[in-house]
Amino acid sequence: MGKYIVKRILTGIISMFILITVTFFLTRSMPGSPFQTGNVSADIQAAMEEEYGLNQPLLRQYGTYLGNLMKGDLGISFKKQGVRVTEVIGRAWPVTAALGFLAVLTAAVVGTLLGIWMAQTKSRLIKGGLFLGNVLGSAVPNFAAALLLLLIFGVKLGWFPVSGIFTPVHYVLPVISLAVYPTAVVARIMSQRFREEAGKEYVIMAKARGLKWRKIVWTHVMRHAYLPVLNYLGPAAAFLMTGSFVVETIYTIPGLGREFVEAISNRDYTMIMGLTIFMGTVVILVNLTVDLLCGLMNPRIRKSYEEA
Amino acid sequence: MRQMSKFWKNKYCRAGISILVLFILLAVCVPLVSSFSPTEQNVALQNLGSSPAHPFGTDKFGRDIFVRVWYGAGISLLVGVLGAVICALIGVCYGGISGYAGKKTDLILMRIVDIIDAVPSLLYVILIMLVLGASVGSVILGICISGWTKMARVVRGEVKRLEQMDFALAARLTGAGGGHILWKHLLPCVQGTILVNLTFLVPEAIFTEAFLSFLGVGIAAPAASLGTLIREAKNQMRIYPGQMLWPMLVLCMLILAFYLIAAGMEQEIGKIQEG
Repeated sequence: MGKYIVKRILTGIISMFILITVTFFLTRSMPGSPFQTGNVSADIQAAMEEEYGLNQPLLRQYGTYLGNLMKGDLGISFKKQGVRVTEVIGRAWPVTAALGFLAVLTAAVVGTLLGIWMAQTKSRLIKGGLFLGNVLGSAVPNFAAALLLLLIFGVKLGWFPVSGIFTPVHYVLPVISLAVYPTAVVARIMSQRFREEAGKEYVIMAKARGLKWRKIVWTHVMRHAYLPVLNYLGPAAAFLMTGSFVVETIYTIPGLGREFVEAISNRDYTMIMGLTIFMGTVVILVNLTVDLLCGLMNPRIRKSYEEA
Repeated sequence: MRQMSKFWKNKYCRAGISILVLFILLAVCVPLVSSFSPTEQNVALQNLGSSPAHPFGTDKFGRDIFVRVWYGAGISLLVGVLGAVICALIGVCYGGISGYAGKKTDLILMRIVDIIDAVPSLLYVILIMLVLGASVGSVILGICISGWTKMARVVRGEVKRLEQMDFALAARLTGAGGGHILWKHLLPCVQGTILVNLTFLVPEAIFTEAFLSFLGVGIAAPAASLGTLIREAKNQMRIYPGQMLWPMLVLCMLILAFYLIAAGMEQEIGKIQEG
């Protein structure tokens, strides 16, 4: 187990390093200077570039950035006067994290139940309906889902507020918009795994021993069937992070995603860089945690890693 | 070809293929035949509702939405299919080499895939779009940066499994080289799996393109993909919801069609494997 943990953490660190490097050099090769705003003279522009250290050799800038990063400093926004990138993250991250957490929770609970229902039902009608719902759930892009929900339940029916995040009711539409796709995926994984597991000998054995079906499902089958769902949490985190870009923009929620989209349209390079690195790191950490958990729960995964 | 007719018998495949063929026809023919151009503006025709002349109405610049939607669907299809095919090619080569090469090479190649997979690819793609500027080419490049990893994993797994089988050993005993065995003996057995994965890649690529265009870093005006149309119509969706709903409907149907085909193919291949 120790060897597995070390290897997995090492891969995580390399991922992070590559993320930081790629982000830095890509951002630096973006066209135009961040201070080019039309009526700024060349002298002032040069002075500003000196002030922000942009006139130094690229590699030295990279070294400085890495050094500051180690101290937890992501630099100052190019466009918002004197605002530190870390300040913005500190303010916006809790909002995005809360949304993402609720969406994961919704997807896990609803997806699992739908998946089991899909695998268990004998009715062809329900089966077909659930299958179609599932395919539809994966076919509607997250921004389309967000806009549709906003239009129907926010504007036409007026059931839910459509902007900001002040009361629990404000969370309903954004969370559903984010959760649609992950729910469909969880349901699909669950129903497939459930069908596979339900035919296995230990289930028949448990039935023969006279256990209640409900108990067999929740204590025996679920233990095996749930591992792939847990595995999906990593990709889900990535999906929710990028989903927050559009959902937060559409519902005007002051989260990380909206800050990122704003930084893109303002060409605020330090902000883009800082947010990309932060969000990438969060997803890498989620992936790492999920993998370690799965390794802990399933010796077979550990083994395949140790052999490789 | 025999496989194709089998797929046609599957109802999900049939539904998906029907939608797809219809959409391809419309995407090709409508911009050619229609008397309205997708980009020309006309102040006299602003924000019209549906009518026989303009089935989907017109937008705030007086452009016919019907033409714009099908023109956009064409771009989405082009980007989706091209992106998916390139990703699949890279993935099959990479996975094949990784599966067939020795332990060390395999280990290094797969760790690279792990590292690429660890970060949400859209983050990189957005940065690349900002560096290269918005165009069809840069969108496809962005999609290809990380779209191939899943295909590589699948192909590698299959090659590793098949390599142990007797026919592969027999081929090696007759003195065939590694590349020959890989291309002529192993990969043909994986055809079905590759095809299913390729079909799943297309809607993903279409989604990525639409997402980028919606954010405003994808296909730039005056060319307009479905994502761009939805973005443009978003600001006045409370007054003219139709301008947003039509492109959205076509986009969802397009993605749905590919998912249906892929899901149906998966079912049929599963049946073949079960015997």
